Amino acid sequence: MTGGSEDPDRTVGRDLSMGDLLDGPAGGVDEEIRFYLERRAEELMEVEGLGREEALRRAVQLFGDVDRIRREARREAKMKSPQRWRTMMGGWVQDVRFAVRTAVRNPLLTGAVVLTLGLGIGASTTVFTVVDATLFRALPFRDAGRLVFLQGYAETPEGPRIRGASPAEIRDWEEMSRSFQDVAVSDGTVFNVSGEEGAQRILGEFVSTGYFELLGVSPVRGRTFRPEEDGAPESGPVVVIGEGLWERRWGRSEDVLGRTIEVNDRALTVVGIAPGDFPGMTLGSELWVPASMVYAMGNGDGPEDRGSRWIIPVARLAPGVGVEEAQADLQAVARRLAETYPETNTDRSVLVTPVRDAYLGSTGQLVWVLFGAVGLLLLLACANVANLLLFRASDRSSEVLMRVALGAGRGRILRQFLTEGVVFAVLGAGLGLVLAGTGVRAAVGLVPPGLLPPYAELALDGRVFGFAVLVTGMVGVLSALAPALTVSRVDVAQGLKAGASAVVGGGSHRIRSVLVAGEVALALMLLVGAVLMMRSFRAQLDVRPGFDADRILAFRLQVPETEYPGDELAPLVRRLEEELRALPGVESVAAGSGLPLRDRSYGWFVYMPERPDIERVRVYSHRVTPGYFSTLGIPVLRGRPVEPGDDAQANVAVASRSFVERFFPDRDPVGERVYLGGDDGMAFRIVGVVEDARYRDLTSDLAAGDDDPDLYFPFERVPQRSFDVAIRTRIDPGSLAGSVREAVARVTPSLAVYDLAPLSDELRQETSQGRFASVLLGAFSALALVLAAVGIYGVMASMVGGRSRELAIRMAMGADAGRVRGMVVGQGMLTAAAGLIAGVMGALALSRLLDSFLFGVRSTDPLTYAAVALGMLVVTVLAAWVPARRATRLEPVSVLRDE
Amino acid sequence: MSKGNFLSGTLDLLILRALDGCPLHGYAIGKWIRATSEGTLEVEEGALYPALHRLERKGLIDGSWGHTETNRRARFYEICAAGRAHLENETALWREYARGVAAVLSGEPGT
Repeated sequence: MTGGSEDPDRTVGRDLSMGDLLDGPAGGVDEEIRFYLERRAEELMEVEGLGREEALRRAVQLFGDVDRIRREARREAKMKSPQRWRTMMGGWVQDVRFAVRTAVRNPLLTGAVVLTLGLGIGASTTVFTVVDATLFRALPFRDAGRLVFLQGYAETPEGPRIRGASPAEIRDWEEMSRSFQDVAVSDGTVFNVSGEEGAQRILGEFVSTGYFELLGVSPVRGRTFRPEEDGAPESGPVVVIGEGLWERRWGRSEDVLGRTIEVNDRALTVVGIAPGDFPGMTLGSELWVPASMVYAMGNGDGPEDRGSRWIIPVARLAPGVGVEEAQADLQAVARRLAETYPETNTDRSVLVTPVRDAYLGSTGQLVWVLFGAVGLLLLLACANVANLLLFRASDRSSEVLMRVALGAGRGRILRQFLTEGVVFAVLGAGLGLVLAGTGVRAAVGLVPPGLLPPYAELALDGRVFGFAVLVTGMVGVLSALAPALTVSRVDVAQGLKAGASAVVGGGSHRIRSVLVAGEVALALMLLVGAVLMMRSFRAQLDVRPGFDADRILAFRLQVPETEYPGDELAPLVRRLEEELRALPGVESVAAGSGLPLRDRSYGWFVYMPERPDIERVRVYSHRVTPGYFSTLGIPVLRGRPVEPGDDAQANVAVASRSFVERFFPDRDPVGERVYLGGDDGMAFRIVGVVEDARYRDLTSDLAAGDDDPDLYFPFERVPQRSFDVAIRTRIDPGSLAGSVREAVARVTPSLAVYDLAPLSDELRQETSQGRFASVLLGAFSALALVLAAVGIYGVMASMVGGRSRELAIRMAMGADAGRVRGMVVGQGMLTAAAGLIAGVMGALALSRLLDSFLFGVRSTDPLTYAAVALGMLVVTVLAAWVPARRATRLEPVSVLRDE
Repeated sequence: MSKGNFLSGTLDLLILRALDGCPLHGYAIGKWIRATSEGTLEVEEGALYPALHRLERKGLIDGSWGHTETNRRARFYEICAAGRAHLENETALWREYARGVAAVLSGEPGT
């Protein structure tokens, strides 16, 4: 197979690059001997007309025992110069120089290798920035690893549900357990800060006294809260503000300390300023008020109402206590509480969740999945590079033989090849870092807001760079290992007898087939994951949200009782609606306690006298103004919606479809009674049924009870001080933002409009995780497919090359071209088939990790697997087809003459 | 006296002789020896190299890297004063020795 097309007059030096066979340092014995052998071989070629390989072999033979001679000469030389370390260092420098020169001499191969590795390293580094930012970066709290949330947990007939906790419960948890150093509460809310500087919405928290201490925060000015300020209701009319707010609103003026400011229309004294890098448990707070003020200024039914659960406390684990221990401890406490307070605490427990896990939610798992996927891609890139290098290794057999003849040990040759691998990897890493830079910038745009917690900033920093270095080293070794091992196994004696290339080339074919099968398997696994993710995303997009989000502009308001007491709230809402309705471009306006996908409603319990078998049902209660359903495009299925005239005395309710399906499946619900809050609570009569609108997510099965059902009441009957306003527009909703703010200011100048955004944003946000995962996995798998195809092509091409003699004879004997092609393609498919089987099994094992992200498609979906496997097979056939065609076009005579 | 030692002594001498005219690199030295001895010295060609470095260590010759006429890097050896003296002594010794041996073998008294 060393084709006869080569120019026999070429010198050994040019042809074999023996000048590069540097074992020892330049200027050493090896270089001398090499020079001798080169010139001697050239002489033999000239004088005796020997071929290149033959001349070399003869030169080595005449030279004698190369290894011994070299050792002797070196020993003599060494007695002259005692600088051994230079020899050792020189060896490495030599290896690197040689590797670089080899790389430069094969620009095509080098380009392919560097591109492959660059893509692999770039992709994995990009994903690592996300991994690092979300999973490893320090949270903005002291010793955050020991911080946990204590989430109330309820066993309901529909399954377990996460709930808050009541103040009384939290006290019990803290007193009766032994696992916590400290427990604090915080309730995130939006405060309305007013005064001569203007009205402003500020995210903040009601917090208990120990909150700042528990999180390890010291104020930059003043102090935090004292125990007596968190005693009886309204005992602490004080406030701590964040440094950022201090700067923006008061220009860091020192005399803010001790001043009173208006928060939710209460005069609170500023007692301290929290450092700017402390975001509170909401991760965005700038204002803190003692929890004793919550009943006066915010929500909450009263500190002693055990069943009113709306707080999620944060706790610091005691030294040496793990999450599981704390969980078991609180479980026991919950059982005792259930015995003491059966009314409120039956089937209630507590879930201890590390703070980081709680902030990440399902994002953490998604990030791991993506990291795993990019790891598979990197592995595939390594396999592909190994493949390319193996292809070259068979080309380099004469060089390797020469080295072995010169006495280079197996380790020495291994080292040379590994160095080459690392040099390639470093070149690839250079490209990879450039790509990662672009990738991270792209990721910042691609990562949907809300997918990552706010402290997770994506940036290429030292840690990411360290990761890239680590990956580069690994990739270098991995991709060079197979070629190095194959080549170093060369048998010199046999090699000198037979044509050298046969030895190295033949052995590597099996390894290359295995590598290609592995590539096919990896690509198939990635493709299955990507296709599953895309189908799930598709299914999410196809979900009918139950409302029409197009051309709806939404905003939120909070109305303080001090400004609009009791019965002034409803008229205010009516005036606001009228003012907004009068704006040009506005079609209709309505208000509600929440809007689809922007919901902030609390769960309420309802009792149904007509269903005595059901004790009570938790529902999401929505308080809506007339025109709410038509404005949002929620279809009315039966009866009537909330109408004008449904005032503070109207005991009517509108049920959602799933509420009816679950509780009144076989009768007309219109006319049925429901009691809100208990059997002695407010009574309502159902007057209509509307389609299910998606308030909290797009994917939970409402009819099956995956989530609590929705129930609507007239806004004026059960008013709420913070509410959303929905404006259906005739024009682009975003363009109305300014005039909406002005209209609200005309009605009530002291109230700040917040969360002003088109409702379609929420819809997009809801599918953002699926979109993000689909795009990334799609890109990875497309890359994987290309790499695998290149791998198959390479192996089949070299197989055809290696068997050209056999194939040519077959053709000469009159074999049918179609059959020869079929044989080659069949060989390729056989290789791929092994990979396909392995890939399907791997995908079945791994795709379970995707389960929690999939909607509307199962992780074992047979159609997906079959389609992907079939697609891979088609790609295999195409990749094998090109070399197969070449096989049938061989000129028998020229091939046979070459041998 | 083993053949190796005998030969290595001979080789040293041949190298010094080769270098007597001008500096040469190893391959040229080898070629000169092969040509002038007409193949009668059947040794490993490679044996040249330990000998060259031994001579250099002894200070008889001096090696340095240079470029050939085709601009390839090679190590050139040059005979030093000590080397030339050594060559003269050894050559004289050899001549005498060879004459002695020849005389003994021919059975005639020396001239």
